[in-house]
Amino acid sequence: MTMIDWQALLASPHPAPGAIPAADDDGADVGMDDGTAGGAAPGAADAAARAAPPDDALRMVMREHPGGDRGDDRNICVLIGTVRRERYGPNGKARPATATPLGMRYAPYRIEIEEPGGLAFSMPLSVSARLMETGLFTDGARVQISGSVRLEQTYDRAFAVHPDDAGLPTWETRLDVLAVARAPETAPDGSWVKLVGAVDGGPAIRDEVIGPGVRRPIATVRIRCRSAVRSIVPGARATHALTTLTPADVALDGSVENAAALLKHGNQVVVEGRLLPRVYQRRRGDPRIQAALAATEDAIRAKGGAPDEVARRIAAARRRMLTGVRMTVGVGYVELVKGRALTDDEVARVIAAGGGPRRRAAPPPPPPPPPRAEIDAALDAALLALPSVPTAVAPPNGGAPWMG
Amino acid sequence: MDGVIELIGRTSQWRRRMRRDGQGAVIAAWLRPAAGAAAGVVGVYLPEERVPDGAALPARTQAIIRATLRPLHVHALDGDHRLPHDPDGTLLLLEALDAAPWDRVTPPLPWTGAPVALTAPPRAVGDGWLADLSLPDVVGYAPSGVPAAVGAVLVGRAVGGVTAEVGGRSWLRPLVWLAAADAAGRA
Repeated sequence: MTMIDWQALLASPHPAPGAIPAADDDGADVGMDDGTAGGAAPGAADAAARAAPPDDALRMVMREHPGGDRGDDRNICVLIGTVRRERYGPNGKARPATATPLGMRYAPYRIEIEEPGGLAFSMPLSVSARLMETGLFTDGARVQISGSVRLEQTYDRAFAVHPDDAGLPTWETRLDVLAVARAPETAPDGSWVKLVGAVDGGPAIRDEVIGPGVRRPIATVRIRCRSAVRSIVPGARATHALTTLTPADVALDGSVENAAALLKHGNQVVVEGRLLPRVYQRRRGDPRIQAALAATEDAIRAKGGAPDEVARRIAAARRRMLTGVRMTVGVGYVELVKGRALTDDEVARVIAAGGGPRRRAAPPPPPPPPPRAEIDAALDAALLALPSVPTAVAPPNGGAPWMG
Repeated sequence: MDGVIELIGRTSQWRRRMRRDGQGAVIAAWLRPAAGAAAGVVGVYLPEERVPDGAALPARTQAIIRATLRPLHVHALDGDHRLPHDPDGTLLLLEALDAAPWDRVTPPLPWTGAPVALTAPPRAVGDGWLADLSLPDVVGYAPSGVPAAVGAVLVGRAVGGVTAEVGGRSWLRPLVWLAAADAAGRA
């Protein structure tokens, strides 16, 4: 297999546990989590996964993933790239595994992707201890990962101004790894994302510069995906909603058909695309950012050096801290399931206005001023109700002392 | 206007406000005079360039302010008292020469007053009367006495302003107080 035909993979009939092909040359290197799949016993599933080629290994995981057995999962991401362990944090110290408040430990990994088109980036992964046991997460291992993407609030330690400071609260696009397999040698690096959900809020419009004086409008929207997580007990009637929010960028230059369907809040859509890094500028006016910039500047000055060199290092640090990167889904396909796509005129107006209303509504306009006569009457009453008049205009014999 | 007014009163927070004429910003506060030639509420300002550190000004405390009568239109901020005919703006009456915490001993010096001319017929309010003045957006108020004629030049003896809450906003009427003797034209 050189490219992932994920839809065909999901659409194809699932092989029965007993029908899994016998081990071949690739099969010995395939690893995955040891959860039960398709009702098979853990040991049997593990053995089957080791014996299966990558396609089957991934498919088995999709059956385990919520909704995966129906082939209509609402938040799917497939990545092929190289795994790197994050050994050092922004402060230069060894980076331990992250412990969640619920006691689970996640190892800090990144995946590096170098697409054939020249796009190269890395993004953080949340790898559970269970997946770590597959042994595939080693530095430099080239893997094929499936999971789901979502926005997660975290803290950027680069903005911590003292040891107890968690850093700047920020939203980061994360990939929750659900399954991993060794990538086929011939498969290029890349990613594929499918989101089925509703457009959440209005778009934010920005211009992407693609050449000298040439720009194209890009809309950034959020897709809210809601999946039903079923009980672990077969036949149980309880379901639990799993809601994720994923940012998506779509070009409004006509290159993506039905892009207008993403510009209206509430539209039900199916989106396919790939993961893309988006560079943005942080707000300089944020007090936390200002404090971190000041602390960084102080630290650089404290180290000393030639004035020009210090100024250069400060400028570089400011530039680095004010520039952020967030992973987003670069949309390449849009299907409107329910709702209404904006007309061309409406799209033109949205572009001209710089976007529609975000989820947070703008503050209401001030109320119209009351009638002038009403204000004058109230001011007359207030004038007559003044507790004292200035000494200079008070009656001579009834005057108040100079101190009112 | 000539003549220094000394006021003692409680100041609000000093905040930066943009001038209506586009000539930059001022640092301004609302003063509630307790003594001196003022009553009610008065807007006080300093040119921004004269206040390199606005935090050094006495805020939310009893202060003694030396100022001159020099009305200035500024863009109103949330919490400001606004002019009825200009809801987005307000009027600051006094340009402060200096502002310092009050030692609770020193009395304010009397104000010599400032000449003002009536530009509209007076109207009665209670026992006194109100009239528009040659100072834009400032109203002359005499708490008693006979109304003067349009064009009469009187002496303002005190400054101040009244405020009223209507429609969820606070409205301001800047005042120059006219002594009764002046109002009667016998001064």
